[in-house]
Amino acid sequence: MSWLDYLKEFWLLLPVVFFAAPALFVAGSQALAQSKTLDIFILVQGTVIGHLVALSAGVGGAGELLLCYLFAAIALGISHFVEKTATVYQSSLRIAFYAFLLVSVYIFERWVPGLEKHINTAFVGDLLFLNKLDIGVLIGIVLLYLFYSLSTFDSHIRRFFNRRVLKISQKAPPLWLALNFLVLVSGTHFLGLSFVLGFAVIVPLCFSLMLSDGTQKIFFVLGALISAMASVVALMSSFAFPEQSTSPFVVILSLVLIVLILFGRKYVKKI
Amino acid sequence: MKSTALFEFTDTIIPLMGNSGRSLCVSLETLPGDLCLIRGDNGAGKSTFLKWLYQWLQANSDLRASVRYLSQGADEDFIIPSQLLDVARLVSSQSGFENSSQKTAQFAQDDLLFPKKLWQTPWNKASLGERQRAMVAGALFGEPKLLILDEPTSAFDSSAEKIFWDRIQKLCETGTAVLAVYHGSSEALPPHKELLL
Repeated sequence: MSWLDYLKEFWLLLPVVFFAAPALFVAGSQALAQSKTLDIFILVQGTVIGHLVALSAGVGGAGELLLCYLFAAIALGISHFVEKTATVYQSSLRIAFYAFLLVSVYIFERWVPGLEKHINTAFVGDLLFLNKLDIGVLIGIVLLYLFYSLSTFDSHIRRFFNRRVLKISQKAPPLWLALNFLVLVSGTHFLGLSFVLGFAVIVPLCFSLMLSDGTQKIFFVLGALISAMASVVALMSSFAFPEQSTSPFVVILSLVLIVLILFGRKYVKKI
Repeated sequence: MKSTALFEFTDTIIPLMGNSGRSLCVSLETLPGDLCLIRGDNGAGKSTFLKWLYQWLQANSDLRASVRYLSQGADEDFIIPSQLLDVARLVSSQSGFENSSQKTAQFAQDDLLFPKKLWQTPWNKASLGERQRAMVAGALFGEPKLLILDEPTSAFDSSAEKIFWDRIQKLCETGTAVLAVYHGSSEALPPHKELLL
């Protein structure tokens, strides 16, 4: 198949990455602003375990997605329980828990014969495996998340600020927590771990380093727009390399594009 | 005629932070225009009391949208890029009070002599005094009914401190009540009450 044939066959993936990348960027940035990036790692790892449990039990479709939500919620719940009960070294304990989840995947693989061939897809992800129903569900979730984020931008920023500077804890709205959870877990299930870690962890860090003089609003708006555009360009480019898994390829190429754009912006500003 | 109190509570027990088991027993009545300085030794519970008061007012008072609270948080760095103006606006928009960044900047320049050119300074690169002035500008903007300030001038130079207290006096004359933890000399301050913890 040529590059163009792939594009004709998989054009529906373009809107998926166009909306998913900025949604993951926004979710990841919010976690970054609150120093909660570790939560993303725990959620992602819980989702991978749920995915593997579903595969080993022969559960597919909605059941598979529900198992991902269930295991991600259990993993995050245990992680927060560890954090709350320990009086010291909370971060180290949570990293140890993450390592436990990571290692347990390989123990699990040995228990369930034939699972090893699925592990790569569960971990890394490949956009070409998405069917139309998956695409519809994912676009629905990320669009809902983006609309909600746009309408509540100021109050969320205020909440981060209250915690960091005013040092007043406020209860986060349940809808906001639920949507963050849905976006991160669904993103891992449909797009793969590499896509979520790329756009929710690495890309926000690149932006925060390169836009250190900017305002909060510019950070979120520019980050979301550039993530969306870079992911589309990267996905189209990935069709020229069909032997590669699309998810990591799109992430790597997007990162290169984003860093180039940010360097270019800095250079132009200096001139 | 006696003014109606903005809030009052009697013999209220406030647990202090940590596992010390200590607590405060406080009675307080605050009228519009009051300036009350809170003093006490280190660890007496001054900051804990102010934080408790802000949260108590959020839960128990109609004042919630007109209260501004300012902690000693100017030393915190941000991971997400922010400028002084971002932070000032966020302080002024506590409890749902909406305003624009430009209005906050104009107010700070006119009333607090904080030049506009400083507003775009990245928060993480600003000095402690600049950060504190930006936060104070946000807290004072828009004539709130009650200001709760935790050592608001600890990083100010003497001229900035004078401007600050002049502005506080004007606010008190218009009916704003101010509760502030303050360790400095009270000689040059506007008329005030003191609460010793």
